[in-house]
Amino acid sequence: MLTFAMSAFAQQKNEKSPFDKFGKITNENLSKTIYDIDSNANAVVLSNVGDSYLEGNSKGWFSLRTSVHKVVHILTEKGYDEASGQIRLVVTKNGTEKISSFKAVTYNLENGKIIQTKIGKNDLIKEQVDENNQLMKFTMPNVKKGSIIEYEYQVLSDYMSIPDPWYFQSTTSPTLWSEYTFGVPEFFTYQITTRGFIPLLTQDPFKKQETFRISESRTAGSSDAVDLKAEVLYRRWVVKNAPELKEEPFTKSVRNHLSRIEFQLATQQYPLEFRNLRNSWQDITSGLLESDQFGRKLNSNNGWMKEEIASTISGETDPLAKAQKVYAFVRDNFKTTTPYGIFMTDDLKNVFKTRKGNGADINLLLTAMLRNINLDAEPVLTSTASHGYAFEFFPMINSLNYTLCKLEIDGKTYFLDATQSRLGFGRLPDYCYNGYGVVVNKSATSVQLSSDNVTESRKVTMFVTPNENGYSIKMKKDEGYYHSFDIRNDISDEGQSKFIEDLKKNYPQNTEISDVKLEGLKDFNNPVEVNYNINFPDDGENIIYMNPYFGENYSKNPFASTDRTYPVEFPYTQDETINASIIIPQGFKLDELPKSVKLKLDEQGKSYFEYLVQNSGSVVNFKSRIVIGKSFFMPEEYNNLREFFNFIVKKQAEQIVFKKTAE
Amino acid sequence: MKNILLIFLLTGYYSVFATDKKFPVSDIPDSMRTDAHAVIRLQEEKVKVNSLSSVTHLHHFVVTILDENGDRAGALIAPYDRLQKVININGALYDEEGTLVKKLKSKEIEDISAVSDNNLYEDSRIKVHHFLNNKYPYTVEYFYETEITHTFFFQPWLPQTDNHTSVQYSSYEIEYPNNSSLRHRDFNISKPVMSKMENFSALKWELKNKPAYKTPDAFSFWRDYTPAVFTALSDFQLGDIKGNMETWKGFGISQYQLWEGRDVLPEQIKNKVKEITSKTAGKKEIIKSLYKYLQQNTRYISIQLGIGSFQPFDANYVAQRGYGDCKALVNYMHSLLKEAGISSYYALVNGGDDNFSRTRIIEDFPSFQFNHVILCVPNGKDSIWLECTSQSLPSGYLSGFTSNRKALLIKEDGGVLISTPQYDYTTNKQLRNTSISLDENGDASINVETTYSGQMQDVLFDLTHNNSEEKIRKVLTRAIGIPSYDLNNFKYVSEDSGIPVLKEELAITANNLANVTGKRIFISPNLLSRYSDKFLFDSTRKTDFHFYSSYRQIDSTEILLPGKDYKIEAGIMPVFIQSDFGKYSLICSLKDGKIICRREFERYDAVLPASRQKEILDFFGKIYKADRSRMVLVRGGE
Repeated sequence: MLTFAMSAFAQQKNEKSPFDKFGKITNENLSKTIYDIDSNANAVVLSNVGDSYLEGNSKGWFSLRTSVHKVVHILTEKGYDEASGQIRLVVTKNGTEKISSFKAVTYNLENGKIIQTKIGKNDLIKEQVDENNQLMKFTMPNVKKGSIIEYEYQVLSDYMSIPDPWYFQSTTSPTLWSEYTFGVPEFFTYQITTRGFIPLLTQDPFKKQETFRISESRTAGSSDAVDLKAEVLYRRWVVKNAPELKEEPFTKSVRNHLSRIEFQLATQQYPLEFRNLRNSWQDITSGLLESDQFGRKLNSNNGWMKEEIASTISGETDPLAKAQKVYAFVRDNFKTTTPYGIFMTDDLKNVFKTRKGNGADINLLLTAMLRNINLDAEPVLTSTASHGYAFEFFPMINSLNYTLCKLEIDGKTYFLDATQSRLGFGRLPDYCYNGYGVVVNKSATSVQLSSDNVTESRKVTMFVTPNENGYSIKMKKDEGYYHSFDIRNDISDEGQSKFIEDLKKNYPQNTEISDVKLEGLKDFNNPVEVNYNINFPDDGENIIYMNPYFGENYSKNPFASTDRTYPVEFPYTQDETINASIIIPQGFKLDELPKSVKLKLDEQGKSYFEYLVQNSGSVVNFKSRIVIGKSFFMPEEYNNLREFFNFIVKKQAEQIVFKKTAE
Repeated sequence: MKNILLIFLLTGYYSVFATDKKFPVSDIPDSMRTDAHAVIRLQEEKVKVNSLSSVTHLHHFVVTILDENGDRAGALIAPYDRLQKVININGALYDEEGTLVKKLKSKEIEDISAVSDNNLYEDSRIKVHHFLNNKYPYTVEYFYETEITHTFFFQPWLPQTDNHTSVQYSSYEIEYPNNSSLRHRDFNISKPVMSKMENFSALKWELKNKPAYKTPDAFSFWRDYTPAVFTALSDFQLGDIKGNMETWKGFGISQYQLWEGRDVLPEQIKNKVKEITSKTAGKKEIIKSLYKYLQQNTRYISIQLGIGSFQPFDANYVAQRGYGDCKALVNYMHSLLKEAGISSYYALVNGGDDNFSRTRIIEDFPSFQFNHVILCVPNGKDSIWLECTSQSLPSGYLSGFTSNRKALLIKEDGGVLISTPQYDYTTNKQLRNTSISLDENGDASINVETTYSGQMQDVLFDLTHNNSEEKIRKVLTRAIGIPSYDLNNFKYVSEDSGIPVLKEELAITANNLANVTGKRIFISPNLLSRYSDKFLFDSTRKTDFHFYSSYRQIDSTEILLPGKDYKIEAGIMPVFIQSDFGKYSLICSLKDGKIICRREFERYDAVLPASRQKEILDFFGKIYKADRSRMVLVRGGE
């Protein structure tokens, strides 16, 4: 049985790509200069057809043979990039991938005649990227404006359990026709999922009887071979007219929205020995708990760590305080090679000894240490923003790329990440808030790490006092947590003097910035407080125009595009308050005060902008607040959001006017 | 008894090991720690020229990493390709006290490709290793050898490339046979010591106790403050090519050998050239037509394999495939012209945006200092220059990537250093007319007509040429410095009359261009031509200010107010600033319900001493402020 993760399939009569055979390019194709799908396209993928099936190999198992046949019309010089390609091959001790055939042709129309220029397998250039990865690169000959290029290749891969996803859509060119066929013998089932917003057309499946020869060399010269007869089910999916998907700001990953299909081997059965290979998160987490590369040692006695833990938590009895100390110990004493990773690169004990590792090494060690002092800690696996969403209904280990630690104390849950040097206890990097995560325990408890649950809140307080040279402002900024995290990292890299220099550059040249003080730089659990004084010289005019934000306003609408085809995703919700208390200079009176307003973005008022200004005697009190109460906005909400910021930008530019009183 | 002896021996051995501490961090003076993330404790670069086709370069360095931002300074990155290989890598990690923690195992060294773009066919690779230690400070030590099979160029010695890394001791020594002659050019470093042996001579430079420093941030030129030594042999060998580069002439002769005889076109291309030339009259027009043919039929793909980094693929290769790197395409263009009876010369340049000022070659130091090649066609007193990797540049125009600098012409009888075209402010212009119509809410409709020419149009030329409307719109939607706007319409028209001219028309609706309160209008009339760089006074600056390009901007702005009864409450005072490196003026007035502003700004080529810093910063500071100045208008007679 094939499992369908989404029901975005529509049944369709079998249709074929107009380029179903190699070399079907016509005069008419080449004469076309513009395509309805996108009159501005630099190149158009006319057809992209993939086809995968399994075959027996001589290593005692099965290989996956995938052919790709692609036809691209290059319309402008900016489309030339589509005329180069690369095929990634993984070659390790555990398995290899190789190209078994490759041919490619460039077609040009010259004086009404089609001129072909061919290249072949010998024209591929191999680049050994690193130990396990090779790129086979090619570039098409004689490419001009109007050329059509066509290539076809076949890759034979030992990695049959997770075939490469098939992308029906691209971020560089529109695609008129994209299809993928996958043939699966009855003794395997694959789990399938689809992503993106374009419906896939499923074609009528067909079945064929085939024989699989599996052999294995035993000793030199002799080998055992087995023939398996089985019915193979071929399924085919087609997407027509997929537009190019463009990257917009405030997107976690454009990949989330690309139309594609993914497979994962789920079961094997008769005549093979029945095995449920991967069908639930419970199976995955149970497997992980027993794996040497993950959880096997989490519950061990791990006596080797006891001494150091004891000295770390010495004297503490409160469980939370103990946990905080252990967390700080791992964060401050271990080097993170990469914060990503869901498999350990080394044994727990070695990680402890060498004091370094990837994200899985570090956070699993943290988990083990917390367990060692009898705290309720469990590993959690998630997918970070740039890696795309993981889905609860589609258990697939590859959809996860990040390891965290979850800690329960007195009914309260803390998520911990010890890979970031300056992150506080119970805080996660903003890229971790990307939806589904799974607790690696027997029941595979799901967790939702939603950007909606994180708030970046910032508060600025200003006291504006006239003095003999003009006026001075006492600034106090309680920065948001993530901004504080950035400030800490920048200061560690470039020093405080660079921070102060950059701060100065934010103000006009004739202002003086003094007494810059940063508080809480070392207290990673809390935000940073930035204090300084600004001196604005008086230009001796009879009128003072004053913007009460003093530079803390939005000077530009962050949403520049007029429309949007996929959701806006903020990394967190936001709450920003600016307060100013302004003493009216001696000899001046208030001449004009902006109006107080409140604008709601939604009916419930979860997101709003508030602007309050009030004069009482010799003081003007000002308060501004922007609350963005959710992190995810559908494309339909985009216009509202953009207008909301338009209003903010406009309102925030308003001035308070003081006029000299007649003497 | 036996046991006691054994323990004694072990202790003895241990103590020997323990006292053998290397590079304890406590040896670093405080002055080397200030502003530093890493300290180069010891670096010894030793180059030995065994013969003209064999050079051994021994690398040895010891770096103490003070904090995590210094980690990158402790990495081993050893590049290699088909002309040089890396051997005998050794390394060690020491703790703060200088005790050996671990030694590098060869299986820990990564071997990765240094090619990142999928359009590149290159063989450059790197061997990489990193002792990522968790505990700071720590010290790493590496040795490795590079075996080089040519003497065409030596890597310059740059002992302090990172301003947050201080240098306790660094040295560079080059040993060469007595029958060859070595030339060198030094910057910001004391003179070398020379020693003579029986068959070899050697030069050695040292850098001691150089603290971390602050990079001068405005208009600085790296060779003014970075220690650097460039070396070159006079006689050299590259593959089968032998030559002498003591003079540019000699350098050119050897380069000519690399290019010679690679200009044979296949028959069908010869016919194509005939076909084109038979339809065209006049040398300039023929060059233009053939250049156009090149642009339409070839494209740039970087191919750097072995000697191919210096020698072009022949004309036939490009004719067959329709692509090549800069050398192959220049050679191809040269071949097309030759077929048409027009002679042309390869011109080596160091390409790069002038503003980064990294591209100046050392003119009186003949050596390989180039990264690009273009074609020069002699034509009376004005040569015609062709950039052969571009599908869109007009014939005879060089963008800021190659203009305004020296290039080496490669002729049969040798090299000649000549200037590429210099475009000054009479060519590099931006002339802009903006008309704004403001309504009662502060919203505005804006029409902008701008004529860009010469280097002022380079960036927009790249954007608008052959890019789809959608892509241009996307860039423009973010690029314009108005707080909130919709771009209604835009149009670009390119004119090619030798110097490229790009005419731009924009129609914009701005949502709140002016701030309109009960009775006042606040508006900054200069929307689009704001000087954007801000500099802070640097009291430690000793280096010159370099202004490389020269340009002129003229802006005329008209703002129609929503009524005629506005008068100025706070106006913009006229600004005039003049200096030998530029001038600026801004005049704004109000008449009949219309604000009229005129802004003129010119900046010239100049190199100015650090002593003029205040004046320079003042000049740009005033412009920065004037470009943002605001007008306040009040309604009615008060």
